[in-house]
Amino acid sequence: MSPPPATLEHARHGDHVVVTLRGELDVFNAADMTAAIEAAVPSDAHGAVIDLSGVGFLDSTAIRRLFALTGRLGERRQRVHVVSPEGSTVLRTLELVEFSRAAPMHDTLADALEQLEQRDAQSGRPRSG
Amino acid sequence: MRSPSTFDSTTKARSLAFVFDAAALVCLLTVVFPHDREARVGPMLVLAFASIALGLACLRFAPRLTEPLLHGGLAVATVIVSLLVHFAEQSALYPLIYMWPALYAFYFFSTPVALAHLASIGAAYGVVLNIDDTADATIRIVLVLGTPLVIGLLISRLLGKMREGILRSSRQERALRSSERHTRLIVDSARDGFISTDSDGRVLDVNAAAEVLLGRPRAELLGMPFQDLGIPPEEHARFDERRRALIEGAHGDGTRHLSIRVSIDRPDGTRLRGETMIWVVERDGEVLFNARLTDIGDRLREQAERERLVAAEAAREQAEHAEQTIRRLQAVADVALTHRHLDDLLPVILRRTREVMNADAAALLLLQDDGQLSLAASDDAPGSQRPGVVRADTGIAGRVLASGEPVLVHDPTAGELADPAILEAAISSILALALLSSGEIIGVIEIGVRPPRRLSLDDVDLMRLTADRVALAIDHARAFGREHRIAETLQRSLLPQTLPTVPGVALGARYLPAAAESEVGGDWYDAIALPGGRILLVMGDVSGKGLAAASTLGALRNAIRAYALEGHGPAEIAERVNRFVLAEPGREHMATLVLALFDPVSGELGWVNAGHPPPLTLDATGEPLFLEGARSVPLGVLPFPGYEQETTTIASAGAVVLYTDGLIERRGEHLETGMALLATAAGDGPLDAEALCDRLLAAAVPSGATSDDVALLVLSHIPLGARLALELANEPSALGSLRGLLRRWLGQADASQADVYAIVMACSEACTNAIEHAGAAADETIAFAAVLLDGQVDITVRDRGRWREQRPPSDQGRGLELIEALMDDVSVETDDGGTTVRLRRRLTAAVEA
Repeated sequence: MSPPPATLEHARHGDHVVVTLRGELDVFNAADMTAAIEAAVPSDAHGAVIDLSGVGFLDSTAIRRLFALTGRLGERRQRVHVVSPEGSTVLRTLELVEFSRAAPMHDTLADALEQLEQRDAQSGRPRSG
Repeated sequence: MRSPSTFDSTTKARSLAFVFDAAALVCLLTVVFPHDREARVGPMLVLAFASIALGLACLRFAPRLTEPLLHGGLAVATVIVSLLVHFAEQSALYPLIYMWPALYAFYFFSTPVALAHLASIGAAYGVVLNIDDTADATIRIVLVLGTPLVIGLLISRLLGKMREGILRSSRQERALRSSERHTRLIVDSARDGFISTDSDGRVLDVNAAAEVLLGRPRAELLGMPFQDLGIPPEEHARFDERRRALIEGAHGDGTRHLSIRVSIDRPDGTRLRGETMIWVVERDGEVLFNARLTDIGDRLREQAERERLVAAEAAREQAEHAEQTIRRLQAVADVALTHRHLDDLLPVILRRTREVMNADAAALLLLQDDGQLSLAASDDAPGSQRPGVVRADTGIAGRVLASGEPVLVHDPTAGELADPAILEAAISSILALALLSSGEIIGVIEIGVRPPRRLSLDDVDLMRLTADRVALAIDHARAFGREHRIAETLQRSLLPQTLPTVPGVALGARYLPAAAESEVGGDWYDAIALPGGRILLVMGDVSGKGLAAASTLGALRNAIRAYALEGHGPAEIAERVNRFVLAEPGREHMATLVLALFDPVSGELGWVNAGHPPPLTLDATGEPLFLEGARSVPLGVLPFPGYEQETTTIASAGAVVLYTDGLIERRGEHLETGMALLATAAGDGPLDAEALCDRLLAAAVPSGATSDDVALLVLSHIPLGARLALELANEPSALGSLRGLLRRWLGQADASQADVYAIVMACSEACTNAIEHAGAAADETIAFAAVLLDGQVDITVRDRGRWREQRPPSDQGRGLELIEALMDDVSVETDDGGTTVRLRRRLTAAVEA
């Protein structure tokens, strides 16, 4: 299958991985994208931030895949937070399907990372490295 | 009078020597015979020897004495004479010696120069007189100047006349001698003998030819009586009678002549058969005979020579005929070079066979796979070509096939014929031979001639040579045909069977292979639908022809597809395939290429051009513009060519045309002419892709046959009107372009951001469902239409499949849930033809209004 018209970058921030998506996510590339996100989050990471700030379109298939992804990462005891700024079209879609039930939503990446660290502290997980 | 220039310097110098010698002589005589006064002996002897020395010097250097030296010499002579006169003590006659230099001057120099010398003589004598102090100087001067002058003039005049006379007579004599010599030469060089006799018939003179003809030397012949020259005795009476008659005639009306045949016995025993013409000449009252003697034997020899020449000419003609035959044979073999297709080749080769054999009819039968012979071609009267199948076990051809040996048949019957045309032409002989290829019989060739000619076994050898060349040509054509078919099949398989369906654009393409004579070329085009609704247009031309080019083309095409789908832009793709072409081992191919990436949403076209003719763009009004930029070297030339993309915009309702050089190149015309023609034809009519293709081909290749391959790819940018109608490919990648076009269309309608979001989302979901439902029918398309009317957007998505009722609730639920949440009205209808989804939403702005 051809690669998606969207791009994916990932970077390690301490115990967490930030995955940045850009482009449009639909039935055409959703499966590949979620698989790539999953691969980008190593098992030793405490959690992942999926940054959708650069995503212009998200269809129902992609949402379905994201739901499934948060489920799988949750099974690995890895938290998933999503960044989608206020007013973006993607946020509308995520609100429509009440995605916040599956993963906490944030306006900015900094918010997301801060929250994750706070959660780590609350749950008493030791910082690695 | 005289012209001094007639004397050469040698003569002048010798004469000057004479002057000196004369002076010396006078000196010596004076010493030997002293007169009354005592002469001065010493000075006289010195003068004498000086004069002799000078005279000898003049003789010695005679030819080298130039005119100024001669003048100087004469002046010296004058001084010597003056000294002589002085030392001789003015003895009365001594001044006469001045005559010599004066004479010399007048004789050998022009008059002005001679007068100058005379003046110097006068001056010298004047000096002598003065020194000697002789009385009555005036008389002496007159005497001294006058005497040499008068005597000199007189004598020179006399000598001049004498000299002229001598010259004239010697000239005449020379001319006469030369004329005689010439006459003698003319007479002697004549092939005929000339004999001149007196009236009694005694030989006065003969020429060289007469000596040869008569077989006797001139010395012996002179004075010999005519009769003794070798005329047989029995002829003497007749000869004499004739001669007398001639003399009598001569007394009557001057010169007469007679011609008689003579035979003359030469002293060496041979006999001359000759013809002689005798004529009488009267000169100074004397009657002479002149006779011209001609050897008729010569004429007989000439005739033999002529016959020999005629025979040689005939031999030469025969040789030329053989050479022509060889040339025609070669022409048979050459047919394979110019006619590569068997069907074209056979009639030509048959005609040439007929020319080689000088036959009236010819036929060629080829052995088929089923063992029968097919009449591949026959060459005879018009309308006689009747290719058909001939049973391999009958007729002349059958006999050739069975035996492999040549068959020669006279007056053939219908049963024996392989080619009915040969019978109709009333053929008297038929010769048939097997065509052999690698020792196998591949067919039979027959020739026939009409009466009265007949073929013979002598014709078999030449026919064998011809048949071998025919077989070779057929071999070549068959081999070429195989390669051509393989290459054509390969090339066809590498061109897209169908063009992709991309929303917002219409594509058209044409491929016209070169006319039958040529090989398959390396032109190709491709159109690749890319994620995001973009489309990559490819137009290329691999150098070279035939299988090798076609396989390079295949590799290039696949490489471009792969790189394009990996998401590379035109410039990156070009760089990569350039490395790919360079790395091809053992291939010397080069390729030109245009890659153009079009985004129907923005109308942007980014292109690179690797040595290819520039793409042609058209705006909505049909105004043509060639994209001359982004041009670099062809692929496979440089390791790092630095391809750079340029970008332009194809206006809505505009078009872009990619093509190969076959479309613009015409023999004998400038490329610019072809490009201008293309631009004119492109702008002259509707701009939809199919119409453009037809129009461009009709303009560039009116006959439909090209000498080079022609490939043409047209993209027209479909305008977005009040109604947006799109054909979507039945695959998820089409969704991106749908959303892009929909956003653009809604943007034109000033829809709010919320409306755009809702409608794009709902349509994307509806189309996703449609794609999933169409399922297996992958080549089906989905019809999408959106209409804006009175602030309300009505959308129809129709597929040809069925909505799957049993989907996992979460999946379909979420899609439909979304659609219903976003749109005012949603309906789904399913019938036998497929499923139609209708969506409706009133635009927010309209609601507010």
